[in-house]
Amino acid sequence: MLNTNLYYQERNPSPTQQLWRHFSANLAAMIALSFLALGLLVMLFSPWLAPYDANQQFAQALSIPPSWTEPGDMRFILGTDDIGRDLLSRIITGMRYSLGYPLVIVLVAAIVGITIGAFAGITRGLRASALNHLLDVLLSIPSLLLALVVIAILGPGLENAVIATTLVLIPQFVHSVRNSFHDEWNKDYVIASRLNGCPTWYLMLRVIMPNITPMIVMQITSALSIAILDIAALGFLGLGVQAPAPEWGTMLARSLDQVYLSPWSMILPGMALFVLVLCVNVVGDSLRTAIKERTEN
Amino acid sequence: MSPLLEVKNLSKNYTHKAHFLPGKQVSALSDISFTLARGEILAIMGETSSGKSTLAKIVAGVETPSSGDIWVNGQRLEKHNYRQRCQVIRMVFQDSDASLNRQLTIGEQLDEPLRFNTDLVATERRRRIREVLQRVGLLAEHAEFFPHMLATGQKQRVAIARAILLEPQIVVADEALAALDPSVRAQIINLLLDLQQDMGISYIFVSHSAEIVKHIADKILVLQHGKIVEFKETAALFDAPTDDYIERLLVTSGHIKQQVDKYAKEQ
Amino acid sequence: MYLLDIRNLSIEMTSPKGKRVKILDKVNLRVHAGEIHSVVGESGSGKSLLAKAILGFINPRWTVTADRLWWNGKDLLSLTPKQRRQVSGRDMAMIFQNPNSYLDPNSTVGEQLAEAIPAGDVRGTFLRRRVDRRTRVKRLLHRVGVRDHEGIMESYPFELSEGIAQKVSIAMAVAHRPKLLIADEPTTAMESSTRGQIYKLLARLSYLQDMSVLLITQDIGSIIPESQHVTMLYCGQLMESGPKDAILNNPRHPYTDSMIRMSMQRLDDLPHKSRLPTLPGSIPTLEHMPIGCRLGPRCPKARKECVQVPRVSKHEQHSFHCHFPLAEDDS
Repeated sequence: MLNTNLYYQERNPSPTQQLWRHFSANLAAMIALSFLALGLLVMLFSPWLAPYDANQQFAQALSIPPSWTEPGDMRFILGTDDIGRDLLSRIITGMRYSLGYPLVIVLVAAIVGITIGAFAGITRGLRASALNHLLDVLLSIPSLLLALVVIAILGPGLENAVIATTLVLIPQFVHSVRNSFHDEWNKDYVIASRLNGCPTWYLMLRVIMPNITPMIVMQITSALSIAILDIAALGFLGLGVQAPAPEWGTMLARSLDQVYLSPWSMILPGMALFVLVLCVNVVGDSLRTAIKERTEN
Repeated sequence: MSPLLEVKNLSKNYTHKAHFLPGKQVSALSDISFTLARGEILAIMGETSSGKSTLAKIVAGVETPSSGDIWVNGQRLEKHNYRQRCQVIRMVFQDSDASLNRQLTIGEQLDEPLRFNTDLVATERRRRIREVLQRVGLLAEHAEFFPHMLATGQKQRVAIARAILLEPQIVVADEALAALDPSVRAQIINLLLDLQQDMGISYIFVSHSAEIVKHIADKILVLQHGKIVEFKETAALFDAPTDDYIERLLVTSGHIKQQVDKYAKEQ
Repeated sequence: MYLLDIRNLSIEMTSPKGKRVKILDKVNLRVHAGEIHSVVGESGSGKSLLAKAILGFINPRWTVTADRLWWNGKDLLSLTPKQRRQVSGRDMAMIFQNPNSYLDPNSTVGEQLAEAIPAGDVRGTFLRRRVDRRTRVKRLLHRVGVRDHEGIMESYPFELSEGIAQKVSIAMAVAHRPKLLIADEPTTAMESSTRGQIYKLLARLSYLQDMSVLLITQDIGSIIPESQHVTMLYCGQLMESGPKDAILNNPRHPYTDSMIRMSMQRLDDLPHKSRLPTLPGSIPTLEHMPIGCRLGPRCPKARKECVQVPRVSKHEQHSFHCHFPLAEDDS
């Protein structure tokens, strides 16, 4: 048998690397992932990328169609809306609301949900089953409806919409993390580590966590698409982000009455929302496929 | 001399829970007592669901007994005290693949028992892991491997390495041999016998294979419905099985042997 | 004519690293009608894959090539998947290692057996059919050596002992009188006494119904005593194949020889707690398949010629693939 370290390292991918290899072999997944990365970059650099301020009105350029049409204007690449605001700037700036806030929401929900779920997963008895039944009740209500209920209590507004969506997403994380912890806890490799005398924190963080990370990432992608849609939907209903902030859902709602006169002011934010959610879902779905392929091999 | 391991009046009951109603008690093991001397190999036999696996798990500490005590070297083992237990009793699982963490390298997994049960610093732990890997017939470089890169036999060796890292006095193996491929099985049996000679380990095997038990065990403990029906020296039991149940368990199929022997006689 | 005639069957797959690996490499297998044929191989030998290839359940992304894959004189590779399924469904059946994993836990044994009986067999008018079906189930259970048919028919699979459960699964498999029964390690987790019962049953069914049995097992010590032919596989390559007596008494391939010596049944000959004979090294993983004869790195007789795949040597029905076969016994 060969005995050089070099030889082994090249041939010894960690399971995570294997997962990445399966994932990156999928063209659609890679396209979606690069779109997401691009979106993230655009969002981060939006103050510099947007040609105009999102709320700057050009009185002489009302309802100008996109620049590739006959009456278009090169100054406004995606055209302007009925009060002369540049749509490109609004969509780019709106990313902060439509992608940035959902990201923060999912992050917070994930941290809270995973912590609760992990502890719930290793407890037994009354406390665990009480939590479980409570979560089942919460999960049976559609997330948007639940967010509406929270908003009805707190009142409309950006902060409240963010709080509502976060609260709504936490049970999903708790539920799935609790279930996977529960499943893993009695598997041989965890028992073996327990017999090794490992303390509970080590079992949770170093033994179980790496094995359920792909599941958590998958949960995060699905939560992200829910959060994006919920924030947009609340904005659309006028319960979340308030006009004139350039949130995509709010933009859709505002352009509703101009849909015959300037359809682009509705189609463009709608398309942006569609592409974003599609990318998130494709990434999540490809991840699921990659996990399945890895376990099959 | 006091025995190495002493199991006293061990019982295990499971509660079959119907919702809200008080559960029905089902006895998996009742009143098990036996002793094991240093360097001895004990085989636990019995039909399916006779409680042999449960007994092994309780001794290894995976499950807790409903009543009864386990004493090692005159010291009582406490429930849930894994640090105390893993210094003296370790376990080798049936499915070596499932008992290894897919996401950690072999080295990281073998580091666990040393890290939490010894005062060794990282470099000393690494050296110890390398030694033990070589001891079980692997290379020191295997510490960098992830389990999925190893063949079944190698995984079983890693599992054994993990069991002997802390130099325990007793190793419990739950059906760890019968399902292996013939060549691997022979290798592992040889390894276990070598380790016993070098380190004086006592083994407790759970096995349904009469052939293996006959070859390696010093004593046999036969279980039926969670009770001990026989506890005797191997040779004595094989020569004169005391009842039908035991005789059925100890049948060794011998048609290959017969054929080869017959052929050898004709020559 | 052979019931099943396979020549040079190869199955190629892409390994996780993107390498093309032959998981079965030019395997030959011939099964007569009514004979018991044992296929022996350790894990990774492709023995279960061979069974799946016969039944036609191969991952569609793998490439299957064969000079000949004939069933009863019909070329199976030329059939459409649908025709192939019809042939497998009508003429073949399979049983597995753990019967409880494929018996339906939610219905009784009687119901499941009744379902397994082909609709064409049941006679009579609507009301008579129920009774007829029940008597057929009873007869089926008797045929596999279950005497307490009333009790067994009413019980659920988890209530059965493993021996009985395996018998029930055999009953389900033979309900439509297949010509070939593939048994994939049916007794690996069983005690020898139970194994003996199952093997006797298989041998009797084979004899009474003129049904071929292809037994797949990992240990040459656990082949059916009544088997006529034995085929040895290692890492997807055919090592040796021939009549059972020839294989056991005069193995020509070093692999067969060491497998026989490693067999658990030979433990009796050794002193208590002595070291066992074994092959050095471990079974190679898919990524590290050796070239040439795949036994090469572990073979006690390997020399440099072994990097070439050995040609088949034949001696009547006994064939083996080795550059340096063991000496032939003259007797």
